[in-house]
Amino acid sequence: MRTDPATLEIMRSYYNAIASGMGHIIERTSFTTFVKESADFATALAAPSGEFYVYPKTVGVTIFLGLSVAKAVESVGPLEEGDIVITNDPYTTDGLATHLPDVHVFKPVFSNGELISYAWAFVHCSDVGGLVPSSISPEATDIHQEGLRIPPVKLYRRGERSEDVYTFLNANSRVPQLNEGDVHAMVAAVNTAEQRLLGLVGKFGEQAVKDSIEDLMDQGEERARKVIRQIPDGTYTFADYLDDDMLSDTPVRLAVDVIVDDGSITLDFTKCDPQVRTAFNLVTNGKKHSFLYQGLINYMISEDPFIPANGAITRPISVISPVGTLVNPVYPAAVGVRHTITMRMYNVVLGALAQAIPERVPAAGAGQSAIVVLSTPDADTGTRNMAVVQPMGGGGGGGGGQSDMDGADGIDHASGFLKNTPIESLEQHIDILVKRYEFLPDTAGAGLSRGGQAIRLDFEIVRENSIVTARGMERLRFHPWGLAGGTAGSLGRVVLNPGTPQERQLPKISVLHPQPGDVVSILSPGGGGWGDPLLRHPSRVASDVAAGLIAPDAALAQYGVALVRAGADWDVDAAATEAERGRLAAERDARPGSGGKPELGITPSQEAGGAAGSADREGGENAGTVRLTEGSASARTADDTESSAPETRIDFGPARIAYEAVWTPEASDELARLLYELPPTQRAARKQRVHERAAELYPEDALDADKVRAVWAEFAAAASAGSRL
Amino acid sequence: MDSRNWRLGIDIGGTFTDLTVLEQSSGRMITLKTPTVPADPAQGIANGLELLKRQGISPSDIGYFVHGTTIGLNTLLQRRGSKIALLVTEGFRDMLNLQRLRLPVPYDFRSRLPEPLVPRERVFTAEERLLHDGSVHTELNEEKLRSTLDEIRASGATGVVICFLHSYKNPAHENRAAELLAQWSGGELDVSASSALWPQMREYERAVMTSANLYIQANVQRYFSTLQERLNAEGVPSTPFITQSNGGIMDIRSAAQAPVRTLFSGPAAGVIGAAQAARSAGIGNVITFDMGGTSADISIIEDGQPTFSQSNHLAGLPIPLPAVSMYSVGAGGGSYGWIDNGGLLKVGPESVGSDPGPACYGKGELAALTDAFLVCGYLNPDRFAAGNVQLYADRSLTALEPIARHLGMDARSAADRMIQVAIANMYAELSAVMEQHGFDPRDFSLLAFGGGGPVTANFLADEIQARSVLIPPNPGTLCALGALTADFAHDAVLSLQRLAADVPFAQLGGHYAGLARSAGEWLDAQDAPGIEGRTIYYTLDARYKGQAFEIELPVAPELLEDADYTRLEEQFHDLHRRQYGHSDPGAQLELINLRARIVGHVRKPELATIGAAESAVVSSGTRRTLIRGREYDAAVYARGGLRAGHTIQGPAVVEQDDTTIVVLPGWSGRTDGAGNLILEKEAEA
Repeated sequence: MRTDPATLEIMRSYYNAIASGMGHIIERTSFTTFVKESADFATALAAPSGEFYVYPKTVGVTIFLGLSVAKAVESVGPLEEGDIVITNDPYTTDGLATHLPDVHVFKPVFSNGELISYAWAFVHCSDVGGLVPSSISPEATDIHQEGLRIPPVKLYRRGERSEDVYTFLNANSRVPQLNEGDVHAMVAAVNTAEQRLLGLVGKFGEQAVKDSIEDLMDQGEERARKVIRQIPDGTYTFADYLDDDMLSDTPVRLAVDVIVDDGSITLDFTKCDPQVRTAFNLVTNGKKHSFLYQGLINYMISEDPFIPANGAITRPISVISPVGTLVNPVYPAAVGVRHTITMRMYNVVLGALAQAIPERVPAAGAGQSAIVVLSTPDADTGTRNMAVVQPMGGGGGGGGGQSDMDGADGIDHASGFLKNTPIESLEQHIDILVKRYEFLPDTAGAGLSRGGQAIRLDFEIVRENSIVTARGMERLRFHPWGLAGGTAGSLGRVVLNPGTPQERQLPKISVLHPQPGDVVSILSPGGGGWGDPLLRHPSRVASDVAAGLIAPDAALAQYGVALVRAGADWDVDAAATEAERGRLAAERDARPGSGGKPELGITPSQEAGGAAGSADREGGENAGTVRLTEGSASARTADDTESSAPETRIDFGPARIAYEAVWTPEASDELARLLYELPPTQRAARKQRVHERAAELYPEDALDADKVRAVWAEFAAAASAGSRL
Repeated sequence: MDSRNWRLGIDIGGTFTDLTVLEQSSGRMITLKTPTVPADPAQGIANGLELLKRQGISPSDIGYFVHGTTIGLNTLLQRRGSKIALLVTEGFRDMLNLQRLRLPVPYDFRSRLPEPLVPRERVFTAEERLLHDGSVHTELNEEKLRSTLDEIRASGATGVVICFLHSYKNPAHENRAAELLAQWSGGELDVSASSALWPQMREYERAVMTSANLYIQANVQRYFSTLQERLNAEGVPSTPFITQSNGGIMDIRSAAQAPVRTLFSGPAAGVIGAAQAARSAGIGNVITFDMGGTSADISIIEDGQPTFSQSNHLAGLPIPLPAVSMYSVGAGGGSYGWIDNGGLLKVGPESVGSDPGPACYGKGELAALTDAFLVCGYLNPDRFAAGNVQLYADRSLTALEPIARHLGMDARSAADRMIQVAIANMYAELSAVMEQHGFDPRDFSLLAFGGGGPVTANFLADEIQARSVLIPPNPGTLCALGALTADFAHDAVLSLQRLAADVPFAQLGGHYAGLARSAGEWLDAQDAPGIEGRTIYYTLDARYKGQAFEIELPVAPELLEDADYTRLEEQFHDLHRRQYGHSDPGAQLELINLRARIVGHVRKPELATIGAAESAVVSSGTRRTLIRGREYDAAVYARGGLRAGHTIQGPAVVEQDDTTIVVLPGWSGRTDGAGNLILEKEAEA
């Protein structure tokens, strides 16, 4: 290190003050409702390399930590003192901007003509044009439907405002005055940061500033490696699914091989599904992108809470993401709801790590980040009013349990930075009547540490012509998984007019046009449980029952805890509990190929009870036969598969077990491999057709690689026949 | 002259109970310390009164008595309050659990929201619903309420808080439910409605605050009645006034009703005292800097007026009552140094506490900031805390050894580095506070108090480029001074949440008059014969339509006699421009909250003065001090020897009973007629 440990800590404080200070300026002066309600913005300082060397932990969105401004700088061309760059375009920034409403602004900071840093900020602006108000529609099929693309251009040139750029921007938003207010806020923020950085140069000297920036990043890297070295070397494979791609009900599979090797980690996404035709794609240009491994970053920060929060903690991470996969789509793939992928990748990467270090990793949380938005017509202006009703899932679904604590009720820490809206404020702001915003009992996966309970949000439509959108709904089909013997959490659901004769289950919301008086009920998924439920202390089960979070019969079925009412409390019947637990354990051991046999990789959650066993399953689409099959979680190929290996059993829930009984991991892997033969934009359609054809040819069978190749060959033959014509 | 010429202030701390008496006619103050009796705090007061008698002040000489209590605060922090229930609108049972969702540290798998004061099993729902304008959507179902009462009783709750949606607009349902519950339970349940305590929008915040109030109330009331019995027995003729979070005082009956108003009263009284000191020095803009054992706190005084905050938090719980603004900026004297995983030197946030205390107290092993101060030569080991605590520098050196070894330097240099790390941390926190509010630190002076404040204030002032550092004559008794000179004050709020265009201007005047009336009734009801005149202050929380945060605009009462919004809007645009750098005269104004504060003035005692210097100041010698990497022979002065007009040059150390002042090289200090020491940076040569 070039800087002594005390001075480095001092400089870190200064940089942190600058970066958080930028965030406070944006909080104070921005206009958009997304800053106001959900803190959807961020600020940081980047090194000349483009990496963030300081990123505030407590202000704004946390998931941009590992990104880089390098490509954006390259795209805009040589920068001069006084320039300020604006962009929102994923394709020309290697995914610095991940979808178009996120408008990024950054300014190079020069000292004596030499670049020493960049000051950076982004705000999720209200609207940048496109198909729908607020610019995000899951059904957009190319990026041009999602609004104005702003490749990196100079908003200020040598201190002079580029009026042309502003004119362009304002002409392409439904709410130009709001956007301009937000851009002003970011400009004020980066200008202030520049001044304060130059103040530091004056105080400590240019060299000291440059050295400390490098040292802080070296610190981050070194400490990240230290954390990663705690993970046994080996290759860990895992996959998880998005329910569908909104065009069909074929699931989208996200698969990874995590290769841990002496303090380095490689994430190989080769077996991931191809890019989709809807807006779930994450543009990375094949570079590593922290949206792919936010779970890994959170793991590192949880293990070393004082690690300098900077981009260099991702230096030990490398990524293999072939062109045309979901994690490296080619232009012009649509990207609006890319956060859905981030949420699922959180599960995928942690699921892989769970096989090495289950006691350090939480079970899957709700795993969605659905922002429920209501828009109503504004008679006065002819425009529409919009409000975030509540964030569901990200900030409003159960968290996954972990070895030493229960998951957070109602909060999945994969996006635990989101805030909710006070009901009184919401109803003041827009015509809506919220009927219910509460935990949903018996939705958490059971475990030694249970998952977090789901949330139920019911609201009544008040105005004619109201529109409800909920980008990012997920886990309506595949359960949040339980870990180490814990059971899966419940599924999310959407119901129209619950509890009335008009009650009707709805599919995942894209755009809903309910009538006045209709009640829309959104049920988030619940978090998965961690560890054997039969080992949970009966008194903890009793307090959950007393709190109304677990029903007494669920306590008996899932935890083997027998309770008797004692006034307002519940007492544990110790003898009955012991007997019931013994019976459940024996039943579990007796079940063929289950329990105590980690190499199977799954437990049959239906028999083991669990939240997944109640409410949602009855109405679920996979209520039929549940067959056990070898889950992909078992493909652990670490050096020490035997003996002391911690228990990594994962309960995926019935839908996934049923799906993988046909589309086995082997079959999906094979199809992913074959799809590379096609141009990226044709792969998703082909995948769909292969699925359809396979269902015709092998309706009851488990698919293997040969069968997939056989189906594939039909299409290949047809294609070559077609080309000969 | 009133024969009862003495004012008495009492503060009960963890270790000592401080009794401060102030002579109204001279401003003379005397402070006595007696050990706190944790099991019976009122006994400590009785013991203190005994000590006073020995000074020749009998209880019957006391005409005015102010008490700052931390009973409510400690009950809340230690979670030792009453078992209470909460009744909310059906469908919103998890209000206290959901909170605002955002995790304190979203990255951290272990980050969780704070535990609610009322567990879910004691949260009940009522069938009723109001709409956002206060109109009734669903009537209160009284039959169901009746059976809910049985459940509340069965839960073992001694009281119940009612918080219904939109009750701040229309309290009818809350009031009705409260009335019925009280009646049915035959007064056996304490019932408290959120709209009665503080009718402001945001159901979660309102529910938490009302719950906190009821949660601590029984403890506070028990304490108050013991206190009054004891005081009567001792022959103290006046009943105590209680300090509030808003910097004012109230009678003991009001405090017993709304103890939640006392939660931040300790630091608030300090800021009121600081405002007095700043006034005596003729300084308007001040950052108060109070550094104690475990933390350092700041507050902002602008143009002589303390600033207030409407969104305070205590241990993660929102308490949205107006309170003197207060921000924690980091380490206290007990915060210790350590080396983190990556080898960086850290100071705090963990503290050694009062037991074992810093290593130099002779018991602990960890090097705290106080050790660093001692080793660098800032503190006099024989004069610490008026000589009551002997300090052992060798213990400090031993404790610093591991840090020094890691840094590859001697222990003394390591101590110096620890101080600089702590200062940089405070700088970062302080600058964030200033940034959040749009203040420029260069327009402010730093007013230091608390044991550690004057030791570190000059360093921090240098970092933030503050104008000067102000150290009042008795930094240890600033809280007592504030309490003894505070006015009666009460806040009232009306949440409007409407566009200005929808509220006729004349209606606005009517709303304010209504607020003034209810605040006036509060003041009239105070058991406080000595109030001399009253002033009403109006403010308006407003913002542009669609904006994220509102700003608080002072509203002159005569402005309300205007015909329309023109002047009010102009003032809003001006303020917006001043705070945010831009304004938008074309935008619609949204009126969020109307606020009124009534102040009942109490007679101010004379301010003490000190004699003018008759000869040059004499230092008692020099001490080797290490300041930011350089050794100096700093002149040492006794504070008592500094008379008005004296100036001293840094590097210097000024010693007094309750603190030590460090003056940096390149800075000089002068003493004014009120006894304040003012440090300023000397012009660069």
